[in-house]
Amino acid sequence: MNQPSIRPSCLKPGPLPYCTGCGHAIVHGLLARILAELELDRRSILVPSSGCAQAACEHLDLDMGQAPRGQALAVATGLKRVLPQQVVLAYQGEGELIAGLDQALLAAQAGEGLTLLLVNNQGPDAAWSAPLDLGRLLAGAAGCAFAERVALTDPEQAARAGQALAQALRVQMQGAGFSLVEVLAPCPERWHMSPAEALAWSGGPMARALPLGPLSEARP
Amino acid sequence: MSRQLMSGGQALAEAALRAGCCYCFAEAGSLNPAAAHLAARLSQVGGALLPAANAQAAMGMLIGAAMAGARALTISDGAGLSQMQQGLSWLAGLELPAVAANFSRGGPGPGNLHPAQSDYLQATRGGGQGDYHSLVLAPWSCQETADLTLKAFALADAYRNPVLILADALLARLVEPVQLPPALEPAALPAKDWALGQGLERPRRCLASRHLRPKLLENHNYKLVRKYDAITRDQTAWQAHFVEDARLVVVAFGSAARIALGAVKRVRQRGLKVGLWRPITLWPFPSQPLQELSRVVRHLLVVEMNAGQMVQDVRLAVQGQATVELYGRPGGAVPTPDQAAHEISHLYHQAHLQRAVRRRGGGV
Repeated sequence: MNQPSIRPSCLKPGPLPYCTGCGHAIVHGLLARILAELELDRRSILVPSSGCAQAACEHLDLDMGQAPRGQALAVATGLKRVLPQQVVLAYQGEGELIAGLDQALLAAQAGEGLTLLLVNNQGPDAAWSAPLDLGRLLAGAAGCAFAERVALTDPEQAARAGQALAQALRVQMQGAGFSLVEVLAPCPERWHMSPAEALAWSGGPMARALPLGPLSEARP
Repeated sequence: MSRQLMSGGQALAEAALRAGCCYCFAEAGSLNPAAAHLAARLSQVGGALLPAANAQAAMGMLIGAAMAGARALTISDGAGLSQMQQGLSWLAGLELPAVAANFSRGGPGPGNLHPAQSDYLQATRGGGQGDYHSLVLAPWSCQETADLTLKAFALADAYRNPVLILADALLARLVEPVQLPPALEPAALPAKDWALGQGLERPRRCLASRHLRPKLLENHNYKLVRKYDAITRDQTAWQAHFVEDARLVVVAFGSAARIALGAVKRVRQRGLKVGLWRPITLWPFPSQPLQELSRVVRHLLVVEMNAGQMVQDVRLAVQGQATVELYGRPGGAVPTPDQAAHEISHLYHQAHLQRAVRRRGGGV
């Protein structure tokens, strides 16, 4: 923990525009670090979602294409089919994923060589009493080769999240099929919580409803 | 290359292949014959026809392929295009080239599977959010469907803008001889120095049209406006038949123009001085040439397979210089040349044009 922080090459200088305690900021840093470690930052294409994470365009030094709401996996499919040597990542929130869930299921079922980074920050809203387990839903598709749910609650969890993301990208590079990492991410603003409360909630009640760990047995 | 018999749907598919289009995205389970033909042919050339969950997702895939720099296509009908409007706005905003074909059918709602031209306003007015235009090309034969498909890909790349081919269910199934050009070599396709994913050493590229500051978005919009102005100046296309001596000119596009030409030939045999004027680009609409024509010909009859859509553009173009009447057939009804001839003849006599012609003829 005493090591100086080293900015990954694909994370541009300057502060990220997210609210204090926002999960997107952590996920961006994590993504940038893993892509740099795997030396994939020059051959990856990121398709950011239409919500807050659109700001990735200004802060990550990656090739990126902005998808219409709900269509990140459809856009990613078009990109990957034309450019099979590239690593293509879709970055979506859970609400946006639902908006295009039909195509997401088809992409997972067909084993499209894509990685979905699902940033789930649904929070304690009206629908929370029975949250839809999107990660497990996609993990159950025949072409899904890797799926894991992670949290950002502490450095240990974040490290595990990084490992899951690296594994998902390796699966894509091996051509083994669709891969998915679901991150339980805090959203203090929308949840009306302090950053610390939101983080604790994402690792507490949220992780109890949506248990962390591998979501499918189909590991490569 | 020799001529082959093929449907308009096949002509579009074969021309797309020759234009270097290797990817087609269409709704899974879609019945359209052009997509079925392409599915078999694309697999022979290393491309793919990808079924999508719905038309919106097909459009999403088209956006992705366009971002990757490929020539790509989607084929649907008006219902599919309705779902794709957001995507067309996206393509225009991000300045991505792509081609979408609409073999339009009767509406609104589920309507029917018969030929209709009632997607004219949907195609020419945008339909998605924001200030943008798609170029709209309207073929009237299988040969022209092939020719305009090749042109559509060239225009899309040249202007980095979506291009619609507005055909109808009649053209999809009509079978005619078609002569196709040789396939373009991959090296002959235009370079795309903005596309994603090609080249490790260049700076990274972000394709987005999100400009949170109003001034930046305004500038982006003005850039698009300048592009649309250039397209309007350079790319309008139309055809005129028998207008030199005409007292009345029929204005029609696509299949309706084909039918109207038959009608015009019929009434000409009876001595009526009637011509046909046909826009080939529906957007940009060839307003100026039509306005010039309306200085000479004071009676126009718009014939279209809808309840009156292009007639709006015709009235805007002639600015009151000519009377503009409508013979519109909505709901999948296709007029016969005889029915159209009857309408033409009725209007011609109602406006006493026959008498004027005789008087002039008698004066010689």
